[in-house]
Amino acid sequence: MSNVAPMRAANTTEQVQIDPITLEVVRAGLVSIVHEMSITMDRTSYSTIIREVHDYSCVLFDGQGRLIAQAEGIPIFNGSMNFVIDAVLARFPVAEMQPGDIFISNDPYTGGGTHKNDINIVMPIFWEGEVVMLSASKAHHLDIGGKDPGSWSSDARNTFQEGLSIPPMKLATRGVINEAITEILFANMRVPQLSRGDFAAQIAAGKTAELRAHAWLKKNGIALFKSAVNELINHGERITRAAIEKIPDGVYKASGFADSDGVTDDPIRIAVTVTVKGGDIHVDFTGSDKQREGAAGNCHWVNTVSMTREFIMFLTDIALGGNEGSYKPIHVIAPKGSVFRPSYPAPVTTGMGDMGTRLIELLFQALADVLPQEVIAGTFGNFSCLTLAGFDEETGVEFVHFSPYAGGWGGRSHADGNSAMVSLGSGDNFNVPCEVMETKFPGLVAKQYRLIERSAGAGRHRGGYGIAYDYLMTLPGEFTVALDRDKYPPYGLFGGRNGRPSGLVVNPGSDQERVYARASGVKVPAGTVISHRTAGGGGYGNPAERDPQLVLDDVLDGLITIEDAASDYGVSIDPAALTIDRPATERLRSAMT
Amino acid sequence: MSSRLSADIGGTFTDLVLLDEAGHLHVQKTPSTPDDFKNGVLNGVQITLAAANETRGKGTEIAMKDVEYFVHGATVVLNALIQRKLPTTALVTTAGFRDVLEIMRTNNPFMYDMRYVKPAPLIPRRLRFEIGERVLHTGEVMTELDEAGVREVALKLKASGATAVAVCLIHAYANPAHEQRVRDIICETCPDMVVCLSSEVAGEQREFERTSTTSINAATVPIITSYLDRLSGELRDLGLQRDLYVMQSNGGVITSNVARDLPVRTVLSGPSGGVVGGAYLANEIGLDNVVTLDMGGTSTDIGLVAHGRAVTVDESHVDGWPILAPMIEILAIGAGGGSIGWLDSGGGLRVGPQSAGAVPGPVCYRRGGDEPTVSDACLVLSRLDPDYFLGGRMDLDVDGANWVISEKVAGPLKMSKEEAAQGMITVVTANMAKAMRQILVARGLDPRDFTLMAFGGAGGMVVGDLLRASDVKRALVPNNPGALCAIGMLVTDFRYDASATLVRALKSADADEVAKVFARLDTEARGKLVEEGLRAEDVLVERYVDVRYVGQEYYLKIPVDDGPLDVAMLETEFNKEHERVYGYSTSLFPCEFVNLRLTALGKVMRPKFPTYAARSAADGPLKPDTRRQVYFGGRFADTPIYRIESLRPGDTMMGPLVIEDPNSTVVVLADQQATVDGYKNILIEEIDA
Repeated sequence: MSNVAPMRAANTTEQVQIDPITLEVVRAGLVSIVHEMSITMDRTSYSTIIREVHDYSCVLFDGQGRLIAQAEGIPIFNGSMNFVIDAVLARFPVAEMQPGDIFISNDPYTGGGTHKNDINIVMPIFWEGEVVMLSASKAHHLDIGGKDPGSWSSDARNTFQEGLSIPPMKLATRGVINEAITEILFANMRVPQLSRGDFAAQIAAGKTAELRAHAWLKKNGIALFKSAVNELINHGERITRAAIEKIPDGVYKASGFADSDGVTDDPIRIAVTVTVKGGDIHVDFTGSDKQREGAAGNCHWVNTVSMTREFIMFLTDIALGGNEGSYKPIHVIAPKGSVFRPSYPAPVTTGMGDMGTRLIELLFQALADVLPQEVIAGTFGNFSCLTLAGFDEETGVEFVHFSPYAGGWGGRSHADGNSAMVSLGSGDNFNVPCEVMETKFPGLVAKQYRLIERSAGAGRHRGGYGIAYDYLMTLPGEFTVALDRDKYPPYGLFGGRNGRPSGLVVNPGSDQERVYARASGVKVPAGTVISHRTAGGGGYGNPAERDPQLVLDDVLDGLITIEDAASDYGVSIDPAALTIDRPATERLRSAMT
Repeated sequence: MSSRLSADIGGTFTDLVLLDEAGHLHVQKTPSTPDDFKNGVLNGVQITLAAANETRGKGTEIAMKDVEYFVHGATVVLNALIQRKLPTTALVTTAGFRDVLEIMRTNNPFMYDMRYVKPAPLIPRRLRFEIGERVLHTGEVMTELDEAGVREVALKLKASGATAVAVCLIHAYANPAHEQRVRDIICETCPDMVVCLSSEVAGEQREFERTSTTSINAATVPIITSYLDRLSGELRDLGLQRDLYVMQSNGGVITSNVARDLPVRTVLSGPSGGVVGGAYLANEIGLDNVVTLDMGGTSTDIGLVAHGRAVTVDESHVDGWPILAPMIEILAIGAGGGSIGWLDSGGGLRVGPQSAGAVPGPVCYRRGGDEPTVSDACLVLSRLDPDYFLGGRMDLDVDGANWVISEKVAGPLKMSKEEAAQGMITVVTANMAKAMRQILVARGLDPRDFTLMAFGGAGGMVVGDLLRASDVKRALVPNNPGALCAIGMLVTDFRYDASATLVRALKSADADEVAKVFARLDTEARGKLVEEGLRAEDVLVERYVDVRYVGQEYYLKIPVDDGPLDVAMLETEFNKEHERVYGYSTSLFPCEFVNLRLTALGKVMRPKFPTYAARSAADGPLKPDTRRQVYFGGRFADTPIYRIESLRPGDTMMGPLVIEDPNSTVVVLADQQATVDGYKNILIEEIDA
């Protein structure tokens, strides 16, 4: 890069002038390192949840623990990673680290973790005897112990029921793994063999980061790196401020209810006050309920902050994630002991999805009137996870099939909501193909996997459709489910209607039919059909303003009925010709307004 | 006299290459005709023959009947797909799975983008029909086919107006019997319907990817059939006596009959020609490992040649739709001569992916463009000669370029227009270097083992910067860089790929079962090439097994020989490859195989690239044709300019310098050395001071 002559720096004390061009070159280089970490994770992992679902994120920090680069991954993870590094560095100062050291954590209370399945691996990167960067990966491990297979229990009553807690620990010293730690870890997991492989993948990703960082530093010099990091962080901050400045100064409020905490079905009151002043935004959750008994009702502070950051990132023009600076203008407040900042030992695993998604939607609602172009109507809610577990007597293998599910998103100012897409915080998560699922899990057969007709909320831009995934259990087993939006359906905006609520139906249509939303460790005999149904998204805008042709399309596609077209949209369709009856439509619509 | 002809049909231009019986290449460029690509091809063929005959002189003219081999890309398929101008197509699938095509993989590829809209399904829901049946992953039938239900669906298909139908049943790759029976029943009711079976088009696991592939195939059969019928009819009228050949995305050629059955395999045939051409040239000049970089106006296609062969992948995406078929691996990024420079809300300089395209194009093209592009930046720095662009046929607007870079980039960034222009080139090459790394490391390849081969209209303008920004060892700009795709098509082998999913533990693998599946694939693949006139003994067959550790999702493709499956050998080779690609292997997990793959290759005659004589006394010593002020390393400097026709093999020059020919410009930086080889390719290396 000699055409950018100042980039070749000889020694570490030299200050290097960082212009916008150098900044972009450095940014591309650092993102490239993180990207290569992801490639390594992707290709060396063992479990479905990592390889197929991509439930992991990799990031890079500088030597002071400031976030400097993220790549594609899971938004909620990206905004949380600095809690991990803070917890690790508080216990293991950088000055005491040695090359080859590896640090591990998962505990939200002591380790900066998101939930216990998400295990963090942090590795220092040395250059000339000094820690100049730290790589970190967070990956969802299939099971971390606790009361139910998959460790995803919406009715957990304390953190101990959610699995093994790992405070920040030194997993390896100078490259030698402390097997006492891994043995305890694997002994507490229901399917340790997959996690062994996934651990190897996380460590391989960290080694990739080190290798690439060394090559980059060799080529570009440490002085350039250190100077560029400050400017990178300033650049991230400027981007966030520019987005916040587009919101008119003011105080915005919203409140509502979440469905259940998983133990009791009393609705959970949630409230937010957003104060925008210039380039700063204060998000205050005071007014929300006190922390709840069950996991589904508690959003750990790490996730409260991360989800709030996530929401602001939606408003910015960053494509590949932010950095330390991106979060500086975002100030989050929640009373200790409340559902958005529960105190130890409150259970928090599923609440990350349940309450975290609510949190983002609450912010959309608060700002809807000033950001009508940016906000979307209500989505199907949390990750909608379902765990199906059983024991194959033929092979002696216990199987655990854990997966998040997709549903309907809310309508928007410019388009209908997407059907069948993963939840707000999940980003580039994939489903598990039915054919792959059946090949891997001997006791399960997919009966159907389809859109739920009539589930979308009507609107000028309607919501997306939820999906029904029906499993036939061919072996005896058990299920654990954590659905959302079963009582308070996805809301419509600006006159749009609500979407249809969710539900898990056991043996639908039979005389043993039962409906669940949150349940753990429910034993079922062979032959049981489990129908997992996510909610449809809320509509955006007055349904009577929807283009009649689009209403007809949904009728022709069997997604709504001719009666729905008339009652929800005021569109009259000739049942024989299947065409729009324009005069009748005008009559219906004028009667609606 | 036998000659060979190829046509690479791009969105804007069609490149043609005629290889005559003496091994001489005749290269032509004509405008494409997107309304009906056939017209541009026919026009190009005639122009190419006329120009070649003029060169060859009286008595030695080549007529259409002398063309024994005519190969071209099926851009028509890609174009129809991208523009979604597809005929009415239906889908028949297992009861319960009607919406697989619309659910897709449920991911949001743009994680912070609330405005993301999933692509409209390739086949609307009203044309997706369900039938009663179910096969398990073992191939065992769980629910028998409801033939009466299929007959009812056939009647609905007939009434629907669909001309094609994709049949995609769950686990059909493991047992295609139900799909085959469904086809028979549909054909009874709808004899003219195009029916494509997922087990034949893409016999692999994963229902969405297989359905997507089969649906694309079904929807494009009518398109390619009509196109090839019309084109070959008119070519026959011009005197062509041979069948047409079509380039596939896998870098092999197939006859028009196979292309009519499997158009999905031709979708990315255009860009793949460049990689095949690159591979061929690399072999000719003794390079094993090459990154090809085809930089055009709106985008850059990056491909790989490793160990002398173009690298392929077994799955790729077009417009968000997955295609399960072997394809030359191409990473397309939004960086080209027309890429636009802009400032993000944090004041950072970005270039692309937005492009000014061909229209309005860069400001300097005088077609109404008003955004600063990479080409404008090159003109500001005097890398381009405004009077010699396209050999002087196009007059570039220097004032316009200076204005737009000053106004929209330099002003806001408070720097000079030259610094801003250089900055745009630095940023765009940083993104290209990042993409090159990405494609290499994803395959476990070390960039330092690779040579960058830069071609396409804009490749040479930034090749020096790119060499410096990336980790490759050296760069090469081929002679005739614009025609490399068309040359590639001329030198491709016949190729047919067949595959079958068979998931078995390695330890308990039944060699007979494997042999049976390979025998079936062999008959299918070899048969296709023999059908097309190749002799069975000239067909080379390669076999591969996809292997992974039990529990792992991803697999590695391991070559095997044609004897009985040697399990121990396969495991050893797999562990070696895993170690190479991922840095470790393990005995902790048993191995299993997932897919069996077979490739049949039929070799074609190879042309010789024209060679040039070394510098003679008559040529005089090497000296620049002209000099001009070009901006390098922070200032304008008096820079030597060489014309390609003045250069001779063996000429060696130190940068900074510029080499020009009518269709391309090669910019070499300070501390870089350019060497001309026997084919007049330009080799560029960093010389450490």
